Amino acid sequence: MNSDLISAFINLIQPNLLLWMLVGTFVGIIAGILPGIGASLTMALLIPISFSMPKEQGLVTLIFAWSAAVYGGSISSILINTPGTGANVMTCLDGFPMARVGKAKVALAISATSSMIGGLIGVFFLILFAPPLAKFAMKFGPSENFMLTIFSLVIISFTLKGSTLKGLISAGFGFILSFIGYDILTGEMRYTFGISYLADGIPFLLFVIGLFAIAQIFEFLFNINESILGINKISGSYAEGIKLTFQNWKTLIKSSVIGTVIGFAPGIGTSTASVVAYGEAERSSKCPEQFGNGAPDGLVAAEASNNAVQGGALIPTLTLGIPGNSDSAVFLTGLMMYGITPGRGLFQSNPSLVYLLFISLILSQVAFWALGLSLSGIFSRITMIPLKFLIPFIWILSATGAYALHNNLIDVCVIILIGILGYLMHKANFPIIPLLMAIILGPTAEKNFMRAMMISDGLFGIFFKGYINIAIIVLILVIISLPLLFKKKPECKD
Amino acid sequence: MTRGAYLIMCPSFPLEDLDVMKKQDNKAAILLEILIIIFAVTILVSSSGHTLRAVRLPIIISAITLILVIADLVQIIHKNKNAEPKEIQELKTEAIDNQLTKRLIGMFVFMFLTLAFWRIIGYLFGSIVAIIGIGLFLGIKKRILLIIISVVVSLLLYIIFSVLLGVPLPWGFLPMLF
Repeated sequence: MNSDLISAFINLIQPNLLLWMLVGTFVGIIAGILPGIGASLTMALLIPISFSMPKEQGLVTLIFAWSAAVYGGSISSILINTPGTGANVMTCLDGFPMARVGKAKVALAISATSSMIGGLIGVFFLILFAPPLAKFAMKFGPSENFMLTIFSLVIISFTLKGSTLKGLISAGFGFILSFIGYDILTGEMRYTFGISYLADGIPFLLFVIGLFAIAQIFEFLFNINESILGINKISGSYAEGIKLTFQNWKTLIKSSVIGTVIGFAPGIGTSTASVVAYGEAERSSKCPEQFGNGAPDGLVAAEASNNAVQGGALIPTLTLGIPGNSDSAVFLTGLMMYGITPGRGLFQSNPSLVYLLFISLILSQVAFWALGLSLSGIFSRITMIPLKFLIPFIWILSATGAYALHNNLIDVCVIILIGILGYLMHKANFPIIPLLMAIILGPTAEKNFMRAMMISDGLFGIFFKGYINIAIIVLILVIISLPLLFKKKPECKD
Repeated sequence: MTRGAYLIMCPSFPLEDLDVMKKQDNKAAILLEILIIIFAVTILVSSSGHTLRAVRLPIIISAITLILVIADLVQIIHKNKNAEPKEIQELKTEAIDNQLTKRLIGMFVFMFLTLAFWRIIGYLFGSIVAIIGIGLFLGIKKRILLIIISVVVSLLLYIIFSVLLGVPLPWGFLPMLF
């Protein structure tokens, strides 16, 4: 074991590998910032390039880009309220309000540090508990996965500020929009009204861009002569952000564990992890009224959990060959292109490669943290730019991101329409997150619902069977009944 | 939106306008809820032509959403009846509204114009023209700076998306003629 570990480490400290680690991290951060690119697409674009490299070099580049891309999405979420991917949606809730009051540097430091710790905890879970956790992951059948989706939507509707009823309506509307297009199992075309564009449904990334970036442009039109900061000034430092992250160590660890656990359940996704972690952080916070207004622990929860998913998702990927999410599915493709077959045999037949992957995963977290922090000073200045300069930039960036998805101008028209919907929702005090979560999770939820119904011959009782389902139902009931049973916590003075 | 959150989002906005904004919010809420009702009813009606397996979950979710929306709509209309708007505040809102509506419509037009520019003169030049157009519309007076920014931003995005990521960005038909 030791010799394998040492040889893996020696393999990694080659100068050319160190260079590719830096390249992978930089590319990942930039790709994460760009709306619509994300970790999966970054890796998909890098695979053809990395295939021409030696195996170790290629895999290391992919891992570093992957880790950095998940983190990179938080930068645009914090600075311009535009999440790079669905995984960073929850980051906007507290990151952007912090940037508006001049705490962009602090928010970026919290995001980088929480992402790193979350990522490291996820990797340690992968190293220490991979085989037993993979076994547990297999207990998640279609009904359990469906119930977990419902659980995350209930959490988000009940924990977000404002009316719970509006939150539930928002989630319901999101679900309705996600039903448009081909039915995954029967192949029937539904609710498209003969419009061929709708056959595959509306991609959720268009909703991410439209509901956040485009709606934000419309909001910015209120005060075009000011900057994101308004009358505030940039204050705070990285040190303050790092300190705040560790001050919220309980949220940090709890969210990382939530991210890892949800990560290893195949097909559930990073968005669910950040929603559940955020909901739990708000529930257990001494100052829940600060959530959504720039709460550091909200930001810690969102970022630690979405990066922890990486390690969690790799557990079934490496031990069973079943990818935990779309990112790990692309990474699995990369592994297989090098002739590496995942499974328990991999741990016995090629331990030095497994160690190389583990060490790369650990180092990649540190790399994006260091590079992210060093670039934060430049990034935080974006909040000082007058909005009338920023609006055209956000528009062109968003439109390009939407266009890049299918090289189709209709996608750009769609983000404008979704932007109007988002603006209307802002005006009507309707929470956007439940809508977005339902759109992201809708297809997976429906697929799992239909599979469960097929297994049970159309009986709904399947959703109430098994200890995982019962535990989820109990948790849902607890979340619904808590506000009725207990009085609201006194407002936090600090 | 809480009062605190509102003040963070719009720090320069007069405090007393908040209540008027809430009144306005109700109009938006009613409009949005009518839109959701239309969607939900459409899903329910058009589900009839499909096999039950394919539309079971859409029917359940649409029905639940419809019930929730109607409940919220009744609440809003009931609250709206009880609220008495103030005349001075209405005048203020009207002035803000007019200015904002002009900006919103202008921005909306420029968004679609951008797509036309991309199709006609290609991504790079189309983006430069769009940024300059939006900038001038929003009242940027430093024109040289605006031109420099538009060129740098468009070129940077072109390099990232087209050269590095291999996305085939629109070429436009006008450059093809030359």
